[in-house]
Amino acid sequence: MVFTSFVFFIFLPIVFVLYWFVFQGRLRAQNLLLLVASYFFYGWWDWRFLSLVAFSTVLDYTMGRLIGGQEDERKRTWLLWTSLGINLSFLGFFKYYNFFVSSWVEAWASVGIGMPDMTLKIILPLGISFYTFQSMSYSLDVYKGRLEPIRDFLSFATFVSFFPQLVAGPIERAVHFLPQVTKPRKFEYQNGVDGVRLMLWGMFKKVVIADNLALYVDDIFKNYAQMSTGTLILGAVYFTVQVYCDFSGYSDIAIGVARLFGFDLMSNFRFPLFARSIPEFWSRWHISLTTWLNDYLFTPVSLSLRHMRKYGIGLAIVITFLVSGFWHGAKWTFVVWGLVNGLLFIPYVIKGRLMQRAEVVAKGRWFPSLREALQILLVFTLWTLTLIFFRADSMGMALGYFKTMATQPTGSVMFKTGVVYVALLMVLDWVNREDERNPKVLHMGPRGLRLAVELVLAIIIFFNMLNGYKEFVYFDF
Amino acid sequence: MDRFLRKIGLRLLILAVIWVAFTQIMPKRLYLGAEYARWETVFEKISTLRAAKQPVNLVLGDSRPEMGLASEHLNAYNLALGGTSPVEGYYMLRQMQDIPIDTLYLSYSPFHFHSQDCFHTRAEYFGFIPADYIAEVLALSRNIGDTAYQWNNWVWLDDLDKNFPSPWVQRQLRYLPALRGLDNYRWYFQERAASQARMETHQLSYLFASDICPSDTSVQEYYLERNAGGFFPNGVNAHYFTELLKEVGRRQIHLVWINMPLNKAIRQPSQHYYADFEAWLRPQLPPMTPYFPLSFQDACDFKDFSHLDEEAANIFGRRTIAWQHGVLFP
Repeated sequence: MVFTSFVFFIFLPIVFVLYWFVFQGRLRAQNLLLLVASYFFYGWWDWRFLSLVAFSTVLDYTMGRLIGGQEDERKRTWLLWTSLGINLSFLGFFKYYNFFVSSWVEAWASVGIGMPDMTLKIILPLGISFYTFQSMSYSLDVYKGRLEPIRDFLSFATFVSFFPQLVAGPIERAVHFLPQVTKPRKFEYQNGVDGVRLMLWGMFKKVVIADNLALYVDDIFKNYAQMSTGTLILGAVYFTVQVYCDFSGYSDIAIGVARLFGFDLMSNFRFPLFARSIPEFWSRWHISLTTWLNDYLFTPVSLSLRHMRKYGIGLAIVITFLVSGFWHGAKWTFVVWGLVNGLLFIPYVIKGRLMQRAEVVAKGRWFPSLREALQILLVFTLWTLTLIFFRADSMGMALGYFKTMATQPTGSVMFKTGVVYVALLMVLDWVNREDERNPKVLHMGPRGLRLAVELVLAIIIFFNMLNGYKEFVYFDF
Repeated sequence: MDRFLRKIGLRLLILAVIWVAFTQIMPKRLYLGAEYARWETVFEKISTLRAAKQPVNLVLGDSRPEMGLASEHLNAYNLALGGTSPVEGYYMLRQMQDIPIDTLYLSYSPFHFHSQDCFHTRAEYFGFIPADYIAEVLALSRNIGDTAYQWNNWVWLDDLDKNFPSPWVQRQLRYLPALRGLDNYRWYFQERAASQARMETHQLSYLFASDICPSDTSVQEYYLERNAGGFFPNGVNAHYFTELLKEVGRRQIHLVWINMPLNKAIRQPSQHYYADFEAWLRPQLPPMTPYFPLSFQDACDFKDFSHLDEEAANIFGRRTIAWQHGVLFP
């Protein structure tokens, strides 16, 4: 089920009413309801893959208990690696098997040796990268001693499958989320209202901005060889805004829905398009994945390479970004995207400026300073260029896109009307930029104005939803 | 909680009122966009042609002649409508009983003989084709078991009848897919008049310039995939095509069959399919009907995968009239 489909608007009120009116005051019953609702939500897409979610739940619950109850460090480590190995094997099979097989066949073919094609028709289970990382974080945290293993299986299963963030994050940490599942919850009026507003704002970004820009982006990338430099630049900028609105919109809806049930999910985006440096950008983009990789990959790798000083840090960053690229998809374009993003960190490593301030840009001012504006423009441009790899279907297409962009300066610039969506997003996000969890455009002005803004947004969303929904970009990962 | 529910309930109520008002009060042309305006222009033209004293030449067909045949070169009014099949063509011809027609250029692509993709969302919804004729088509489709017409975009009609017996609710649901969003307001106020004026200057041909060479596939590929075993027309389309030809014969209209050029990017995988189509079509046509055979053109002649661009449409219009003279006066 997708947040922006009509069936979700039937599903959500039913679960909400059951949760607060029928099961109010009974924690286990509420958790059971959330679990059933979450499995229903996921099964609406394909019920067969529910077994994978269930397996991942049982595996990490069991491993957490075993690791927590084990005193012998070697056995604890062995149990952890078993858990990680099984989780990653499933992820590897469903997501990467065909990639490795076809790369293997192509590599041999390039030296003139034919190999049998052993690729399989495998459907990528929705959200597998997200829930696998989420449940793995539990085993890792128990192993590190950050968390006591949970005894209540129902609470753990609810944590793994919680429907607002099951298929596309934010990738929650057990240390943050499990205590919320095991604690009684109370409906708070302001929390509920803010949740609905955040849902509204997320839907606006997804349905109005991202889905409309997707029409331009699809056309431009499909026919890039016939486009001019100007059109291709627009295509790349549109995709930057599309993927941001698509994914941050999903996260906003997820956080808003969770609030309706009394949960607090972590922020996933903090206005990354206004970042002034690459490190600041990555402290604002897909925060739940970035911090996950930081804690469980970058930190241990950089510690093991600390004897290499700056080179070690640089290498650890590049490795982390390669994994991040590979996490996004089994294609060389994602690997290159990760590599380029890792390399963009190198100047900051050399200058020793990895820890950048992440304060709100131009706080208390209407406009940024010239220096800030130039910094934002530079980061935006670099990010936009790397996303061409992210969007391209193949390396050939990505390189062709760059080549055409550099060599066709004279043709007419098409699809200019998409600039309206970009400008609209930038202006509204600039207004909102002080608090990603409470969009200012929905909170400012007198009551009547707020009501009018809410209604106008709802109507625009509704009309755009009638065009048919486009899947969220991150469902592919 | 009560306060929260009141707040949400109030907003939902206001939205519901706005929605009902919108669908009940606003004229369709305000929110149905370009396709509605095209239908409106064509049916207005049919009304004005009723006053014609001299016989006129007409083009009927789907979007390929609508956009790809510059009919001014044939001295014909281009009444072709995107997404239509012989079902709509027959109805339109019947509507023009009192219009003297000299030559009818007929052109439907093979895809529109074995499917319907716009019957409900355009022909039915736009309301230019009356309910009794729609009912006649649906009755035939039920009788002969032709399921293509039993789908309204994403809704199976029987399910609609079963689950939503209220005609009012049905109407809301049937009409949902045709609404295209608030963007159409802007289109309506800014571009509709210019678009219709442009159609008038080209005898209603709906021409678009383009400087790209589209080689991606489109709806055609979808139809070809569904018919990988060859060309198989469905019962309803075949029936109304026969009726259309009978009507042409009864009124002694000169018939010319035009196969619009297709994008050569589609040619390779589908030779068999097109050969089947022509083998089925030619015996249906009256003997001696001038028949412009299927051809394939370079992708750069197209504005999108399926439709010739303005320049190619003009060239094709001139080519067609030259060919016709060659056939009639060898």
